[in-house]
Amino acid sequence: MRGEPVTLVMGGLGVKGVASIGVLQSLHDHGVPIKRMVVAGAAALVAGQYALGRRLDGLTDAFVHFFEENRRVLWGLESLSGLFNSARRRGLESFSYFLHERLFCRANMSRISVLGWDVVEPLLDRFFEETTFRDLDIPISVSTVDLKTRKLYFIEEGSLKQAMKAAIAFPGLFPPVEYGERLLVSSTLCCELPIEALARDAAPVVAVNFPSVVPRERPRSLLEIIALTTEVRSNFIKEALLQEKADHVFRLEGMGRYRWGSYRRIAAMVEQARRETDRQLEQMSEFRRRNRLTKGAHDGEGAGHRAPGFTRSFPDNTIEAFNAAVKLGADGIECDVHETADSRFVIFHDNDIEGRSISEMPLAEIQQAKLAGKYRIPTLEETLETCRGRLLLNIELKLVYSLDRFLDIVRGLMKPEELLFSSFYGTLINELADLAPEIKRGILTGFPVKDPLKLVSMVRAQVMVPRFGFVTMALVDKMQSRKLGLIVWDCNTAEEIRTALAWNVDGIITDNPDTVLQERPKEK
Amino acid sequence: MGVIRALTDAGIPIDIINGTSAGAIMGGGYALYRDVDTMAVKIRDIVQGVKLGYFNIFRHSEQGQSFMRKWLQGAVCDVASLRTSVQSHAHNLKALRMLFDDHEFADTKIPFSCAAFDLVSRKTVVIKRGKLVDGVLASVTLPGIFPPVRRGKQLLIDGYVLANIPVRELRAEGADFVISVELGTTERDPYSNGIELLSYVEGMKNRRLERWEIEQSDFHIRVNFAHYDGARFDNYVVAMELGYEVARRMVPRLKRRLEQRAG
Repeated sequence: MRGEPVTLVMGGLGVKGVASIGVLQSLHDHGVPIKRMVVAGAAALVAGQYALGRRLDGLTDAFVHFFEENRRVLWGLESLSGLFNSARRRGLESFSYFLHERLFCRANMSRISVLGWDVVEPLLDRFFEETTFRDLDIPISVSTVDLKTRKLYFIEEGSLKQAMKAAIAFPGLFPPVEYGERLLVSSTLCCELPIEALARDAAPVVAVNFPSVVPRERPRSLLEIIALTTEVRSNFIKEALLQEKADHVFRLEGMGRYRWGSYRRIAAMVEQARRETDRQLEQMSEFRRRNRLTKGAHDGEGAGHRAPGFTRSFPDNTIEAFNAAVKLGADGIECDVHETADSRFVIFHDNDIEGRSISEMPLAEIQQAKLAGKYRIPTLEETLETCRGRLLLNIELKLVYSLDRFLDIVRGLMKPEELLFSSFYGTLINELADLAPEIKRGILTGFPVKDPLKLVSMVRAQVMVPRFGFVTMALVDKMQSRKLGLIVWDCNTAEEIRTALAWNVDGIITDNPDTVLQERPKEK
Repeated sequence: MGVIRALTDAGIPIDIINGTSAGAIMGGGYALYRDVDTMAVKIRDIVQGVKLGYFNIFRHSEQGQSFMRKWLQGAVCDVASLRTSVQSHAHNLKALRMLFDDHEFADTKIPFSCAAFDLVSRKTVVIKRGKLVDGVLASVTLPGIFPPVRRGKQLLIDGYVLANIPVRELRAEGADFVISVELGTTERDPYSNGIELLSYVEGMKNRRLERWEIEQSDFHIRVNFAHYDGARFDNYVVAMELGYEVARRMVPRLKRRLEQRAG
């Protein structure tokens, strides 16, 4: 998982959001870089503390202590959330459950919420004092629902305390929060994970899913029926959105046995979440390692000669590197294109130069920067001129907004059969299918994909470009049997390259093109 | 009914029908008689002869908070935590019997099915066998107002939970060109108490689920009842005319789409 920074999406119903502590601890231990956190509900408190650089261990205790202190006020939350256990309840317990349910219903009938802010105010004061979003080490988007526009609203600036209030303003439990013109409540009830409407450059999106298992018992009362249907619909929406929008999902099955009101089991929840995230992260690296080993078995068998061996030399994305690739005998090169502030296009890998985003810099300023002391950042036109008639060119589209202008330039300088467009952004590939149907398109992925065929057909790509670590021989066969291409990236050691060749992939994007050329059988 | 009339007037054949809630009543009636006029007469008799209104405890009321209403709400709360419903099915059953008599799903002239939600398996079920009255009754059982309907091992309520516009269910039945009909309801001032706030948020989920279903249909007709209360059955004539007017205006576009599909 090390490598590209990810956008982390966290939510969770009620107190289940607190279990995000465990997830963050685990990600932190494994060194997964996070570029932004998009959070809803109680997970916002946790993410806020983490981004402020506070220690996570103490946080669990703080929550446990808080709920212990307010046990009297939070009456019944636990038993209410454990709906449908009515069959097991007996005598006094059954009666107190009825009282809670009735009280909750009555309180909500006569006022806007059961609790006031005075309960959590001290906790929020302690957590966030007078801090604002500017004090955060990692940017956070706090997802809420605006009651006036009936839409999701992301808070990204201002006082943290106020934003957190809005994040945990569960309708029925806390009153809505006035925020400037807006009137905000927590978004977890209408969509547990704020995964819709993420920014275009959010990819790769990693979501944390705390599944909620709806108890098997039949609902006994009217309120239970309503609660059950609400929960079933929430789950349906969540799962559908996850399948559509997330690049990778940590699905923590063990969280299913906790309910949104299980506030007395917070410590166990956090521990469970941490263990499961640890395990899944280890499985992912284990998956990569094992695949590398099994590759050896196929070594040399039916080695392909189709692999064009797209290359990336160092320093990457310079004219000098492209010329070196030609000299070496590579079939093609892969480069990354960005749009500048004045709508020109440059070839560069990262999103920023010395801390400034390329999309905010004009071309003249970008060209003053020198890579490794002497190399210049080339424009798109220069690169196309260099490759024309000599190399296949795979252009990875990073942040490109003026697609029309981009296509005009590309079409003017190279033939469609010399080109392959690729991107992590499915929407971009989909758009290109309409704008430039004559040029091949590939969808880049950096994480395991649940249903690769569905993904490829959804964005209308002809080629899948997955990270080598997540490719299996079965996937290669699956794609090729449907006449779809498969090109791997991040395939750099000799062993990896040998395996990729043995699997007969359609292309290898590598930092070591010379190894590919050595390993590749001579063409007839 | 207005939409159906507009479609048949324009000569657009209806080969298969699936409905949820009120859609199940209208769809089922049309599938059985294949004649809008017969339906209109039946509906008039029902509205005049049966007391159909229901008391929605989760609905905002304009009448303000009178003492009586507060007391009533309190009583409803007690009922809500003890029983599965506020009202019984008696009036619904009477109305459905008047419309469907003893006919079965197999008797309908157009293949018809309706969608309900099963509280036991937590899935949408499509009902297409047995008595029409039983099937449609399950589909109109608004949770929180009427008691769930037992059917074999299932415990059924209104299919709106996951399939308010059952496009997916219709596709599974083998439908080729699906026309979805959405009946938009009133958008009110958000809330004045917690329960209303909760149901307001629930409404947002509703729209999202519906949007997914509508995306999967080939043609969409939206009838907007901006000033029409879903629980007031006596203005059914206005509703019918509104539906007819909206659908009639969309017929040319629908025909073009059908031609595109054929060509």
